Amino acid sequence: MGLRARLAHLAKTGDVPVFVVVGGGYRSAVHRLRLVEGISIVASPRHASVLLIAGALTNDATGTVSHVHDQMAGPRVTVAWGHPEPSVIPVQTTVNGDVTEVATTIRRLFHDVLSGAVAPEQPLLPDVDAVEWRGVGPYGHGGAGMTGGTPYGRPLALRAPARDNLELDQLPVTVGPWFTGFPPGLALRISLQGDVAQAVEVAPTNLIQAGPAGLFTRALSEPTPIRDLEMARARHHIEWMADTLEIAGVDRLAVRADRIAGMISPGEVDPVERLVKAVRRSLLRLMTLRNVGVLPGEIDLAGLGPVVRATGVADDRRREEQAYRDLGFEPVTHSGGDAWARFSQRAAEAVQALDLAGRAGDTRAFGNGEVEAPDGLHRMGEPDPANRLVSILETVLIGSEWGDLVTTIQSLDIDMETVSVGTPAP
Amino acid sequence: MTAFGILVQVTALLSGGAYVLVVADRLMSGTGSVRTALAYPVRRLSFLLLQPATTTERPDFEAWILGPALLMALAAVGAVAVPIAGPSAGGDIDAGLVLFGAAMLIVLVAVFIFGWGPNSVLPMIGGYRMAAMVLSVGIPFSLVVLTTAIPAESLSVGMIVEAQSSLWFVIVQPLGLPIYLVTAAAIAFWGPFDLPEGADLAGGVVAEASGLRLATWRFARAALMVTLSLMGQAVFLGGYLGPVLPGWLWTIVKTLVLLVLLALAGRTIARMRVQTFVWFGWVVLLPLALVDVFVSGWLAL
Repeated sequence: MGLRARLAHLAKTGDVPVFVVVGGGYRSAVHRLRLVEGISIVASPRHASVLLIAGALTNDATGTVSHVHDQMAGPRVTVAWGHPEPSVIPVQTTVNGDVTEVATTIRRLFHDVLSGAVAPEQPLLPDVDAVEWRGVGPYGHGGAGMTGGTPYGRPLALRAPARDNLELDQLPVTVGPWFTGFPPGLALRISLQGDVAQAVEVAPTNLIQAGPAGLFTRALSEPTPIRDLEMARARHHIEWMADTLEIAGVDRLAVRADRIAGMISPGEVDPVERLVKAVRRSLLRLMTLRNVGVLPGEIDLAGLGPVVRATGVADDRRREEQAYRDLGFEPVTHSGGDAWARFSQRAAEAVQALDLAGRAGDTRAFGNGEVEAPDGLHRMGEPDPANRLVSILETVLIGSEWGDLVTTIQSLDIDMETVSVGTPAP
Repeated sequence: MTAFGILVQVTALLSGGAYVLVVADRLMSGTGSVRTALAYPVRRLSFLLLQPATTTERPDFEAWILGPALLMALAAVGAVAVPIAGPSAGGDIDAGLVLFGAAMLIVLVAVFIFGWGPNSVLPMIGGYRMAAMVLSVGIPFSLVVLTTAIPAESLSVGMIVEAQSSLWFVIVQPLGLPIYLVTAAAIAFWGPFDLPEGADLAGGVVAEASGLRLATWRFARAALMVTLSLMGQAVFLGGYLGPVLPGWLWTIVKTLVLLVLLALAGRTIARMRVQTFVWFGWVVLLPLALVDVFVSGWLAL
């Protein structure tokens, strides 16, 4: 057995590094995939061997997903999960089963590509500069027309007004739509001065195809058991907590949160309360979330669910529902309006939701065209709260250090599935 | 001990320590069994060796290649300054403490150029963050390390260990070890101070790295953690001094204790914001380090 074969033999018994492009309706499923031993979901495509396209994307996503594909170091393979045929890019196989089935498929393909049974995928895009390179020398300095602007499609550092009496260059960059620190599908054009965002613009995007109507969408028009609604709310919030913990670097607690989200049952609040205590011990508030992402007072937050309730306002559609009033429901609120307040708010709402689910029995909620979803008030025929949250990003992110920018976006819990911003460039 | 002997000793120590660190870190991540964790470093290394190194548009190749090599060299240089088995067993240098301190502060350069190299925004921000971090903790780190030379009246690490024959400096200088561990974790950009490689940067300085380049970087960072733990036990926990066991075994045991402690902190405490870190370095750590210097100097008079 040669050296390469020996390395391949050892490597294929290890974790499979997977980069996930999350499409419509599959955010929760990806959380369950994280818990499968032997599957390692990575933050950069450079570290991955398998590209997993989970859920439905629009045809507009072909270009950006192809870029992600070609950034993988290889040997690489692509799997589509729950994605309608044909996929946005060519794939090795399509899986329509559950987490176990997709994990088995991923492992099999990883084994096969390392052992040579399956040929690794070739790049989808030509390996040429996007625009002809006309700079002089290896770094392009000194070429005609290379001062200022974006000559030949490449942004150069620009002079910008002094910040804190420091004359720093300003660098325009686009980050997203598959950057793991942002909600899937969100792309931002940012002018960076050092690591501070001096200008932010939401890039035109319409990449994620909405999945099948979820429970809260159906609850707009049909009576729905409160137990089901509250269990879905609790799972949503706990999975969101897992995302926040992962970005904050406490992966151990993120895994624990994902486990809890997968196994909780109505009335079972202890695991969540113990998780919150562990989060407090991790100093998450002091180290990462305190005083970050405070929203300006002039922004109307009505109807934005936990975001508005984390500012101390008891704005919750459920208090107007007789069935909830019969259960003694009162909205939970927190003060401060920063990222920690939003974390505490969602943690408390998860506990409250589990408690309500345990006591609700067969009681049903009659939405009558309105329902309080985990991300805020949904109204029949009106845009979801995510659209409003995206529209305030450009205001709230200016002046943020990069880490705070990511924390703020994460704390708002934006689902791009129902958001369409402008028309993407061809 | 010959130069070759020291090289073999340092290589074995850094490699063994790096293996233990990666296994411990994996166990603390909450995923997988002990058996999986024990095999993880070898399997992961095998995969990375198979993976081709990728490139980006117009990278600064020299910087990108030099970064991991420099980091590894700095970890080795720092380790050379620490006597492993005893004062006569070689490896002791007259001004070893200065050599170690200088090597650890140059880590900033290694991380910055590794972030700069790929010509990509997220690694570049990772490099910026490292600069902010080391500028904030470099002085307290140097102060608490050099303060251990006051009672020993020597900059030789071997002499500092010998000066602890009656009482370890962790007791004589109670502020020293806590400040050292915090600043050491920052210099090794290990959690909760892993800002240059944060998840909010999709890996930061390693976001564009793959294959051998990534494997070298990962090993170098783990080796750096071993070096920092090695020096920590030498100047605060009595190094090779201890009853019954041979000196080299005491060195290994004490180094592993600090290594596991740092690994545990990295997995259980949330990542600190850059602004908070800079404030913490200048407003909290620096004054405490100065108190450490003045009290130790007064006691030594």
